[in-house]
Amino acid sequence: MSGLFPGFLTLSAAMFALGALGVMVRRNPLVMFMSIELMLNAGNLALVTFARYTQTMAGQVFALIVIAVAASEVVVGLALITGVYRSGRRLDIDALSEMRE
Amino acid sequence: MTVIFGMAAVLAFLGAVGVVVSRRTIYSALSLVANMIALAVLFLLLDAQFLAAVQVIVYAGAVMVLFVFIIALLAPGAEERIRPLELRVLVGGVAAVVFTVMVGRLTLNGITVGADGRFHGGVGPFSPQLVNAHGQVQTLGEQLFTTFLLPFEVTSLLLLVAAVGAVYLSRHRRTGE
Amino acid sequence: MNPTFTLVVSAIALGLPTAGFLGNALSAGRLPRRVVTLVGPGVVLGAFVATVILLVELLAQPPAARGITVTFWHWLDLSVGSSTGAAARTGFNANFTLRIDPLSVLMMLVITGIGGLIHVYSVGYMAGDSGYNRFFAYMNLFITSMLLLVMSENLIFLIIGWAMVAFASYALIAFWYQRPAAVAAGRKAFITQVIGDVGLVLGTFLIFLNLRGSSGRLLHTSDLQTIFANVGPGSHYHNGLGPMGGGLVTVIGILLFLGAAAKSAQWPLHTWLPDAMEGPTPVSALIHAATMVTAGVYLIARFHAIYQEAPVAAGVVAAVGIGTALMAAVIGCTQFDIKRVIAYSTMSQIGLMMFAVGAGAYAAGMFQFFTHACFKALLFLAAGNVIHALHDDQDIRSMGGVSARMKVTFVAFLVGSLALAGIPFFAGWFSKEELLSTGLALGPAVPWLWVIGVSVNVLTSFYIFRVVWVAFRGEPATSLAAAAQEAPGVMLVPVVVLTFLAAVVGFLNIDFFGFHPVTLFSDFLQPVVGSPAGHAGAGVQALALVVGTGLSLGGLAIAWAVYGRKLVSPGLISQRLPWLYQLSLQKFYWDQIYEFSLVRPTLAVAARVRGVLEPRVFDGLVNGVRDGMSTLADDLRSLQTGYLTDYALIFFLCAVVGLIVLGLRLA
Repeated sequence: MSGLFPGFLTLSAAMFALGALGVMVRRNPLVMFMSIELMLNAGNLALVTFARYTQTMAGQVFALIVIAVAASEVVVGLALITGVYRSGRRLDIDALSEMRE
Repeated sequence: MTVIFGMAAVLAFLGAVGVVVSRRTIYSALSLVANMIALAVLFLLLDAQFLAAVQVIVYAGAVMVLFVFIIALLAPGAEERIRPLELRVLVGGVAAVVFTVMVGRLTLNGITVGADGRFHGGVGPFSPQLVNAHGQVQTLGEQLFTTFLLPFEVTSLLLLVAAVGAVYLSRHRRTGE
Repeated sequence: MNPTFTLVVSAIALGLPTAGFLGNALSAGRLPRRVVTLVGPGVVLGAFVATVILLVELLAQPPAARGITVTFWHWLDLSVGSSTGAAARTGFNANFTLRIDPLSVLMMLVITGIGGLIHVYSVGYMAGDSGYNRFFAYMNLFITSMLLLVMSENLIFLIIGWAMVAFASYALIAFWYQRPAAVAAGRKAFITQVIGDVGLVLGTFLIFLNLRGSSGRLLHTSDLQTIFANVGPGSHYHNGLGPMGGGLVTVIGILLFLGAAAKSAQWPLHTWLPDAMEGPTPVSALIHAATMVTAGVYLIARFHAIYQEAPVAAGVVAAVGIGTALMAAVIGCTQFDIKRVIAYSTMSQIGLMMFAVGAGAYAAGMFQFFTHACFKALLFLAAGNVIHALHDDQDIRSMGGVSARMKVTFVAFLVGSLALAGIPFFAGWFSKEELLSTGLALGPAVPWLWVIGVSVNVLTSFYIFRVVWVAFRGEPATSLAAAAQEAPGVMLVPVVVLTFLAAVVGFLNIDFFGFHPVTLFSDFLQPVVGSPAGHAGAGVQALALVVGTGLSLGGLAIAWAVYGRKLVSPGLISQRLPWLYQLSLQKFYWDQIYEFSLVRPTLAVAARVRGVLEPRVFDGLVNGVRDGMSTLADDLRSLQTGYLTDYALIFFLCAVVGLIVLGLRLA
């Protein structure tokens, strides 16, 4: 199983990259949010992998906390998206961008 | 072992791809769920049984359910066209591939795992056998309430804030924005 | 000598004119006329009193102890070594130090004394001018600069004073700035003097870099006393600057002379002086008779230690001096502007002074300077009276018969002319004969120097008495001349004082041709400049004296014959020898030569620079930078799209780049 160590990490990297790609490419805020969740999951995988291989508990504890944080973040974020939807605007991140001139 | 890993990894990967690529929002959500379940299997492979359970119960079971509900509420049939030949997509895709490859190289070359199956970057006392003997939940709990007490307390505060925030943000406004 | 007392008195002498200038200048011309009338000349006369006090103090010492250096301010002092002894300190210092010794006090007396008289005269002359305040401000500035120049012990401050004098002369020559001729003349004077400054500064640099002390060490000093203590024969390493007559000393001597020549209007830097007559007459009297133009002679005399080591350079000084003297005397014979005649006369007389100091007779040269300052200022001021009476007409052909109506001025001008022409017992006779005896003493092999000197005297007599007869005697040529009034009192008093001086001051030194009963002047200067070399044989000397004096009187007689009694036609030379006449009238064509060889090419280059280099290269460079930055900014700005996802992409890209770098380093 020790030989799978790089495999776990590469999978984590791939998930992270895909999540980043999703954030950059998709315009629906809900899908963007899910991509962010994907990135968090990738991070969790890497944490637990390292916890296993250094035989410490810190990685698992941290992963637990990440899950809690992700949950609270999802709650607030979805509330915001709901608010946006209810105010009648389109759920398109490019249309919602206020940073353009 | 390797076989299980392979299958779970493939599922996780396909789920991740599905999140990004799917036209319909609901399909993205379901792909993410699949990804999380595969991840739970991977956690089991890594001797983190408790965490696998938490992943399924909390993450896949609560968070994703919330997601699905919101999608159902807001944009059940929403579709989005992705233009693969847009500059942003191309650059992002290349960057993603390069990222993965670089990390892969790093893991292969920069971090060594010796013949004895041990990681040669500093090793702690919590071997799987010890943890299983002592109990998964107990070990985790002990660590959580001793060494990592402060993060634990702060996280609880964070959950409180999130709850209050959600209630506040979703209250009905009398004058309508 | 009490250093503190000397310091205070010299501070007063230098500080009064400075305060006068600053007060006047900073008040932006708003001081009431009465204040300026009192303060302007007042500060200079006050400085004169201070100078007299210094003189008395100096005379109270035994001759060997007449000299003190006072330090006002250690400005930039990088020198090391003990503070006692002139040769002990080495290293650069730009301290504000003054030297009070016979030579500097002599110059100060002339500057403040004759300067003071001219300031008083200016009260009358410039009374109707709207720039009255400005005039006195500039005049005070000039006095300050000139004092700084002659009192300065440190070469740095000497150069500062030198340059300030050049500016003050520019400001005063171009005083009536609404007249283009005046502005051009001022510019010409300033540019010529700057060219000379190059020589002075380069000479200073060479001295600084090369002077060695007795131990062979480089001294790196700009302190005059230290320099003079280490240049010369004796127990010093290589005579300080190199062996006697060596190349380096000669080069330094010639470079310093370049500066002196510019200030003193000697060939080849002489063309500015006649044009400078565009300035008011008091300016001409002060600057172009008594002080600034003699700064060059002062420089040579002060640096005599170097010229004694460089006979070639000294020879150049003497040759250029005597040559300029002859050339200027020839030109002066044909000019019609009364001020220009006197200007060329100045050029000629200074040529004689240069000849004297170049030949090693420093005391003789300085004596000539002293007498010349008196009678030349007198001539200018008297001429100024006439010009003022004729409402600024300077052409002698429109004068005539003025002597009947302006008696005092006529007597003054006459005395000045007698002094200038070297008529016996007037001031000029004593100093000039002393000069000529030096020329003779240089050796029987070079009697022609004496011949040239005597020719200069003949011409001098001729041209000045020509002016006397044409301008003062005879019939008035214009109605203005017929109605000329004597000058007001404030203008007459200085003239009378100078008349008295021009008559008697020669008796301070009677030392020529082996006959020296009175040597007050040379003895006074002896601690600074030493004694000249020997004299020629007694018989030759007596003959030379008689012949020389006779020829000077002969010049007077010729002028009387041509212009007084009209026995000979004035047009004789212009008809018989037209080429000679033209050469003289056109000032030997030097202005035209310079115009073609120097001025036109320079202006052409300047036009090229302005037309081509400036817009295309310099402006192009600056604008190019601006345009480049502008384009770069525009291109960079396109990155700021405003889309969140684009920014996220850039984050990710940077992370990838970081990973690549990390990967390359670990692999």
